[in-house]
Amino acid sequence: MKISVVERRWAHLIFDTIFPRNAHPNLQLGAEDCDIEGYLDEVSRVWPAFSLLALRATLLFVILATPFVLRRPRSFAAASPADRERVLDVLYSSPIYYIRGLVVLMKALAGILYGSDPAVRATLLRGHARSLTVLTAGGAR
Amino acid sequence: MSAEILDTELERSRVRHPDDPALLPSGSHIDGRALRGGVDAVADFVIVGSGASGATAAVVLAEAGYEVAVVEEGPWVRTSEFGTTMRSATMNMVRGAATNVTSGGAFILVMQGSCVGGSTAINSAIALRAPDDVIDGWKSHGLRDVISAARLAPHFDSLERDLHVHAVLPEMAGRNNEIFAHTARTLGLEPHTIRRYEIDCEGSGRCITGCTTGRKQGMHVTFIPRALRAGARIYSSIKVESVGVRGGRAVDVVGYATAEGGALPVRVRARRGVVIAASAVQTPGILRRAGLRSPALGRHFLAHPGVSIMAALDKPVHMDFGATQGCNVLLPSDRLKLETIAFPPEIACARIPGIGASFMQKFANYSHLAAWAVLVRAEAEGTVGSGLAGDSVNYQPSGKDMLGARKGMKLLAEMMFAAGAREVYPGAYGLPSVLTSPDELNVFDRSPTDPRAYNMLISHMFGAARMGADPRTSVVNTNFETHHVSGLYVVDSSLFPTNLGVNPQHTIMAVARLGAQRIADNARPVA
Repeated sequence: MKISVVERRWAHLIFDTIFPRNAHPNLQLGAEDCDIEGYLDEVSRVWPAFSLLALRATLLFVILATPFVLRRPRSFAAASPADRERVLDVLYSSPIYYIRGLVVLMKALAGILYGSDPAVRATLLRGHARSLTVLTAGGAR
Repeated sequence: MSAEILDTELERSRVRHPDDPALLPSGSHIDGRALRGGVDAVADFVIVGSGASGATAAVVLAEAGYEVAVVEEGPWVRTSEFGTTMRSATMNMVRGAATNVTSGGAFILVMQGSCVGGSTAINSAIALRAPDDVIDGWKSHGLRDVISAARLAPHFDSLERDLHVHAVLPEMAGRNNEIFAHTARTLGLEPHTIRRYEIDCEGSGRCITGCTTGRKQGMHVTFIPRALRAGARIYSSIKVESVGVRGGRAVDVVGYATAEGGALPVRVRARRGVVIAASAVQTPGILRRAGLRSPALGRHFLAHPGVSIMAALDKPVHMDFGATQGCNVLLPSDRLKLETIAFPPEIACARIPGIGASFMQKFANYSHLAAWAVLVRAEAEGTVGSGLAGDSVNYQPSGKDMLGARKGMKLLAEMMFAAGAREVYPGAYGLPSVLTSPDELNVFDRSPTDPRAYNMLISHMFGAARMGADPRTSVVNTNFETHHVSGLYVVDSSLFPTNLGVNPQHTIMAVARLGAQRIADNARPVA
């Protein structure tokens, strides 16, 4: 079961909304600076089919929920970055467990990509761990 | 990065670890991914699983002179191949790529290793003996004195010698542990430095992504190589489907290799017995597929559900240096264990509140973040079954368990403020996402007891194939053999009648050692 091209585009938008560029002077990298495509390939290859299905359903759900959250006929892709953030924020704090659970899943998934990125880690970690990260970056991919 | 650090790292990359194929007996490892044809092999004992219990049983049986074959579902990821992030660990070494969750209400993450060494390759190497009163309480579950504190003591002693168990050294503790210990003392709690399986730990803070320095004494670098040197063989990347039973006796293990060219059949015949050591989640399914029809099979699943709390302190913490888990506070009367847990950035992402800019503001402060957790010795019982997605756990903590979790979270938050936290992130639905003052701690008294309000995790699992004298209420007899099939043994935590209240690896290994010795002593002559 592969993640389709369209789903990948959605994933890019969602990841970038969770981890935007230039959000902090000390951490200017966003998810778009990371290897999203390689990561999604890896997820497609390794994740169990059932989990992959849940991921695809989550991507679709976020897209479908956008006009309802924004209360206007706007797709997630066409929404402004601020509106996209609002959509995810509303879903993330939904009183319905299964809805917020989907966004928690998406954030955890994107977090593994973002927090594992050698450039992000080089910014966040101190010497010891940073040196190992850079040296073994090939193995982390 | 200084040239000195680079030199040190390059030097390290040339070090040969005990799991280096060149250091292992030739032909002792059969990699299912590299097979070109099926396998039909034979051994005295076939052990399913290479984690804490399987590896321990393999050493005991191989060193007793038996021919041993270990069958492991996951790959053998060598120390030299370990990455330094959760991305590499989850993709290569964690069951279901860390996406497995419980059913029954809240989705509780089920973390298990799926590689040679099992969870010992990705845990914090904590070596705590189960409290004597917990083990001695097993008498009331029909175990008589088969497993008692006194009987386990020599096994604990032996394991501690073999695996270099000692308390985390002060210079390797790291700030996350130091601050926890200091604050616990300040608040009148009794912190204990955690004892771990390690030699010369360098404090890389990467126990849970696989120890790249090989200092952590997981089964992949200790008991598995030792068993191989004693004549055992290991088959990795082999998915066990069933255990063959003929005339009421276990005769072989049947599965398939996940080879690159497709699935290849694997059969390993057992002259003397089959030993299941696949964990409380996988063992029941294997027994069920072997045709076992015990009413107790899959029931009485127990766990230690855990919840973590993070905080931004007023001083650097640097969770990326020090023992991943180096300090804890035991509160047995509350059935709680408070502990440190150093989160790498990729795990911290999931626990820091918010989306977008508000999240990034907090995450950029990673160097000042601390993470601690509470584990509950939960009273709730669940079941283990087989579903479309494989072995599945139906489990939810009870209201009483959640009251305990809530109490532990409040204590941790109080400790964090006492340690100088500017912000505490409870991570629970229904609570403020950020607390900024100890005056707000009473919010925990009103927080929900519904597990769905929390992001929980279980990595300590027990039961589902209990030991006992009565076949109606237990699966395994006091000789570690199933009531219904002879020559079919269980030595993992699925036979435990209760949970422990402390990290289980040490007790799992001690029980497996005791069990394997009994199996060796009672081994029937070859048919």
